[in-house]
Amino acid sequence: MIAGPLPPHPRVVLSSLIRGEQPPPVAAKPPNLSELLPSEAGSAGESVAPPSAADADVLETGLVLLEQNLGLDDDLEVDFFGHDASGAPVLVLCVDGDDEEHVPVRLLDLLRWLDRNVFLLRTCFEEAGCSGVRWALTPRFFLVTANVSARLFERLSGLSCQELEVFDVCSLLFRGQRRYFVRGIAPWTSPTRSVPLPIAPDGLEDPCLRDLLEHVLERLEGLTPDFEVFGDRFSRSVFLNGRLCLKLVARSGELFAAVSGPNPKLRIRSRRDVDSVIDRVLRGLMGMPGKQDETEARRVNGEAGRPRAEREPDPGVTRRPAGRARLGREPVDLTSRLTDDEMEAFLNK
Amino acid sequence: MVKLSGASLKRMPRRLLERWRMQRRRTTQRVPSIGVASGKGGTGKTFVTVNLGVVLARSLGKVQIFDTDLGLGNAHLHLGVKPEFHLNRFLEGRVELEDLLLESPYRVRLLPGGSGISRLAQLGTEELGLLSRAISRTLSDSQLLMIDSAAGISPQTLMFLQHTDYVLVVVTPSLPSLTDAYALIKCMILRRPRVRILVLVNRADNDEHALEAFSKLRDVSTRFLSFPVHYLGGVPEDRAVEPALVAKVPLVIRAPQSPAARGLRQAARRLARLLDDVDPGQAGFADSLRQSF
Repeated sequence: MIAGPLPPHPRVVLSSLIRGEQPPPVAAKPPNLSELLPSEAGSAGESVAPPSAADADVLETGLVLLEQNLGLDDDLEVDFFGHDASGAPVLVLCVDGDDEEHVPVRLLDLLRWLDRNVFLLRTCFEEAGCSGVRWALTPRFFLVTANVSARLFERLSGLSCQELEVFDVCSLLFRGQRRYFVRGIAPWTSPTRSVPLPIAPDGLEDPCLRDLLEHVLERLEGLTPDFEVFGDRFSRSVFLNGRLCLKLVARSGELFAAVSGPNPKLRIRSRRDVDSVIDRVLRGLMGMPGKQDETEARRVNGEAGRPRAEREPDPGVTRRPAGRARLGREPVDLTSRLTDDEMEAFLNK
Repeated sequence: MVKLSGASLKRMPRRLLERWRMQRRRTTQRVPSIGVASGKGGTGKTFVTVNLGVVLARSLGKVQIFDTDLGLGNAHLHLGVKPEFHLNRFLEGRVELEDLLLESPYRVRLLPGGSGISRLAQLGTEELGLLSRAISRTLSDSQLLMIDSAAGISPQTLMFLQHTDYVLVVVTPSLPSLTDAYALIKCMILRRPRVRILVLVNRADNDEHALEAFSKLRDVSTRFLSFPVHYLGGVPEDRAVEPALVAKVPLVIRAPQSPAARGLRQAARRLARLLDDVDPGQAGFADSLRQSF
């Protein structure tokens, strides 16, 4: 037997990533069987801190994990249990090469168990005061794999399980440190950055909110074709030149926009909110402060209420010409007269 | 607001009772507004305003058109109604603004401008203030207000437009129309950075031609102003338009199956959906205009 470092179990990787950490390095010695068996506190040398209502956005936007090592029956165990952004119950199975043989049967057993006994789970969680799960929704299964063979994915393709998401733990050695990632496996789950995507995420059911989200993306598309959109079942992230400009998230039947800057989160309910979002994205791109930013800056600088034009210029600060955007355009001449460039743009098209 | 008992209501003089009812409705209702504009004259702005108003009145209820082309207003010609008084009389204090209202057979009511009265094109601040205070009384039972503005970008025109929920810019595919519309958009952004602008292309050869004209305007607006404009639709050139104008009947009534009428109905449907997004918490046109004086 060749001694060498063993990769951590996907359960360990997932728990670490949820906490925003990388998994601890594993000791380079052959493991005992008992060390690989899961326990309440995790295997020896591989501590698995309970996520305890933790946000697991690393798997899917809005996923919340409520419980770990959930034993449904004598030999039927789930690594994590929680709910997605719409409240649908989610059961997470973490599987490595040693466990892969039994995965399809485990999934079918879980389906059968839930079909008959989901009310037991509901009772336990409600008595424990855990909220957020909408038990009427179809349960979903997240399979997080590591070091499994391609045969497992072939066998999973034969299963007619509509609500299955499959992920794979992968790693790379970067600057002497091994870094772990979780990526989606098609066709069950889109890899993190993939196109094409439907414009509105599947998890956003309200047609009015879908319309509003599409409206946001259409308006951004109208500004420049260089925006890139990625996402998952409950979110869309908009990048420009590799920089995240906007994240749209569906959660509990609502639509939220996250833009950098003060008051970053905005709930989108109407076209006026869409205007606000686009306004903030534009200001973020052009480096212009918003109205609330100006007020805050004045308050901090002790010039609240004093018109900007009356303030003494700070001799120590080199000011950019007024109105020059970060993108390097000339200030916009907002009078009715068209500039030569503007007229040429009309003539040349 | 004082709540009146049934017995009190019966004793009130009729005119006072009407006024009390209008005032009560005003406190509970906020009328959405659309300003229809064009940089260049002759794009068919009034034609579009009247016909959209007639179509929208069928689904929304009473629509009021305020012809703010105060010196050369001609919306009454499109509706086939004849003004008895002009705005001059109201400004001179001889009549109430409500007395100028004209009812058409199409659930559209017109507050006419004045034709050939040049001084109305440049009202003073006091007169505009008087007008702004009186407008809200005329909106008591209207579901939509459409402002048919004068062509161009005079301060008076821009002032009326900046208080509306949407500004609909009517263009034709010609270059001068597009450049003048762009100039109007620039001026609107300066006055109201969050203005929402819709574009309707009138007298296009076909849908592709209309879309091409809009794309030109949109691309320049995006590139130089970083400002989005939205396409409301295209109305094709149609020989049925002129007979309808001569007959003084809106095209959507006189020739409802004509291509231009179909284009107008489609645009009206889109507009009706946009009106659902108007924020009822924001001040309406009349209140917003009044607050500026």
